[in-house]
Amino acid sequence: MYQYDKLDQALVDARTREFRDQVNRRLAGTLTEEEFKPLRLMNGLYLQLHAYMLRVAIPYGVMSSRQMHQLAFIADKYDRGYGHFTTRQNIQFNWPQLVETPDILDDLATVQMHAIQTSGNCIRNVTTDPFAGVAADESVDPRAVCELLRQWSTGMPEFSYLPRKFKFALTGATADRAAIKFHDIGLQLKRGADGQTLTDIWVGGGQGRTPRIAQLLKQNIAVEDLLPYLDAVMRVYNLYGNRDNKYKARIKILVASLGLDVFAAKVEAEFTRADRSRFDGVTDTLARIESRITVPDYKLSANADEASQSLASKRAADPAFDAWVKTNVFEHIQQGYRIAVISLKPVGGIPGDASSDQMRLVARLAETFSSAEIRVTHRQNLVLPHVALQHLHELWMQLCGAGLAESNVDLPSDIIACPGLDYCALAKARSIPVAQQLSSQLRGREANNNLTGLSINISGCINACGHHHVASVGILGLEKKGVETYQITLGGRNNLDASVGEVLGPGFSADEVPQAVNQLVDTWVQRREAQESFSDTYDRVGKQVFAEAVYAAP
Amino acid sequence: MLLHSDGRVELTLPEVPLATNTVVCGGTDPQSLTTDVLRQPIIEIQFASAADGRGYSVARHLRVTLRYAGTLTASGSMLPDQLAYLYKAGFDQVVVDETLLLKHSAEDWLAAHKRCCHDRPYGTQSYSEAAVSGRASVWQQRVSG
Ligand code: SF4
Repeated sequence: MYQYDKLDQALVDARTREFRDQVNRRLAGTLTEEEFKPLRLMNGLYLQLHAYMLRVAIPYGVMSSRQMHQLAFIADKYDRGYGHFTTRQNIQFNWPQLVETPDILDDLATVQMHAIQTSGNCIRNVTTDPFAGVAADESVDPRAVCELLRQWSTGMPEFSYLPRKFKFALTGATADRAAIKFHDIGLQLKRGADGQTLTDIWVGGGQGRTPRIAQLLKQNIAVEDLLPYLDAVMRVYNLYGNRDNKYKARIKILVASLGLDVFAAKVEAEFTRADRSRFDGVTDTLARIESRITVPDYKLSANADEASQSLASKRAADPAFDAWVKTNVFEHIQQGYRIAVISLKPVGGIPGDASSDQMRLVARLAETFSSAEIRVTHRQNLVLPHVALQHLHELWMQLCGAGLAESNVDLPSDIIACPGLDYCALAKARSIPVAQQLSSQLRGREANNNLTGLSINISGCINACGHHHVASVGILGLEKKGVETYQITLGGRNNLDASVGEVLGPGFSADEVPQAVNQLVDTWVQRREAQESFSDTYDRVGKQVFAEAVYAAP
Repeated sequence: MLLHSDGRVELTLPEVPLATNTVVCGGTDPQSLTTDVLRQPIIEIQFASAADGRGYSVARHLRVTLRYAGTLTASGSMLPDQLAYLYKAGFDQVVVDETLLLKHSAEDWLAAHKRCCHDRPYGTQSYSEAAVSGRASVWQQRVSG
């Protein structure tokens, strides 16, 4: 992973001092809450339903064991002994006291962590493929460009008071595990004919109340032009984005209202006209970043054959281990190594939550088995990216002892859920209890039916933080006459064949949701052909078939 | 008062020059600015609200794209905590008028000014943007070792 130097550290330290000063002024009353709000939001501090919430950045979802240990320490010292990993590959603490938040930031800064730009109308923490750098299907490792974007956008005055928040996602692989088409800007990195890195830029994607699939803005942009071009995109958005209505303020609305061609022409004009001196030496900066991304030595690669035989016999002997390897272990670019995903979706659990003990265990396991590196996925799970074949069984046994060995990655019980009405001030309905009930119900079925290809995402309101639009089965919490109701959407996809789910029909009460979901799963299992995903079956057979099954039921 | 990015402070606002400035509102489309404006010794960009960042892009357009060499002045709605951002974005001076002083005391403004111009390092640095008073950006510092 990328190693901060003393200039990075100085910047984080300075920011922490600035925030302490702001909190002191707020506590002394010289800053009103209204004035404090944009300042605290720049540092990830929200005011939720019951308390403040601090969102800590995990840049592009990569962290070290040392950092995870510190998150566990913070969870114990300042919170209630747990943290919540989010769809933006960050972590949230739900119960900090305002007066203690500067101390939390100080403690984070000791391990180069911070909460910079995890909220507010600025460029947010960049997200990427959780398998970046190790995925077998990757042509360009996106981490250096992610770090370049992080640096470029950090503390940048021009893009700190945008019309609305702004999210980047990057991938360099064939399979899109970063949902780039549902971000304000999605970058797809690839190799050119001469081996150089080229980037396609997608713009105007997003979820929320107006879901949009991003459109292709520019193809094959060279590395040295990437930042100047993105700078031009941001300037056009900053100048022309809607500032009167926050629901029309995202770049997707600007692109839709101008039309892609007009928007692209404005960007192109700005790109051509703008002074590029700020970006002199950007390729050297990128090379310097690349040189500071550590690569494990993979010394167990040599024993790959032997290790894979021994793994096969362990799998044959233990069906539970075999099931875990099938669902939670992925191909690695390095012979003899695998990527192991740790599910934070235990049956009946809260998606994305981890206790401090679990965090410490994962930190220790990463030290022992994964070069002390951990990733966070946008499905709210954790990843150990460099596990040797011969360590998989030992790793699994240790995870079993801590309730972290659920074999359900990418299965229906691997549910994304936003915090909903249990925490969020904007929520209309609860998400977490619905997720808990559905995971208990679906987990049993997963053992009997092969349910790969069906995802369930739950949002507690139309803001769609739980990504319901892009799930095979999306569940959206609404309030009807003071009662929580849930609308179901079908057929979403967040990969490169992106699609937005369609509303099935009238909503359901919380009690009715599990049965409705069961009927949807039944219908898919009956109607699917071969390895078809839920959304592919849905596209082929149509909504009516599913609606009849659900609404005709007694 | 008038705060300068080089660290100077004028406690009272000069009456004459500011009244004759070319005033550009933060929401102006920079494409509508003609080259006439470049001959003005002072250009004042007014921020409609502290949350409206368009003035930064207008400033950048004037300073970097059009290479405006005169004095760039920020006025309107701002917070003391934004001074560093304004200086980094190329503003030479910031007008703290009576309205702003009603919201934040002169001490608050002076403290913020001191923090970003004199106390270093503070939370004002960025990687790609040269900081106030000729300080190098983080990227430039790395190149120069
Ligand atoms: S989707 Fe709504 S309820 Fe859920 S976290 Fe976002 S704003 Fe809150």
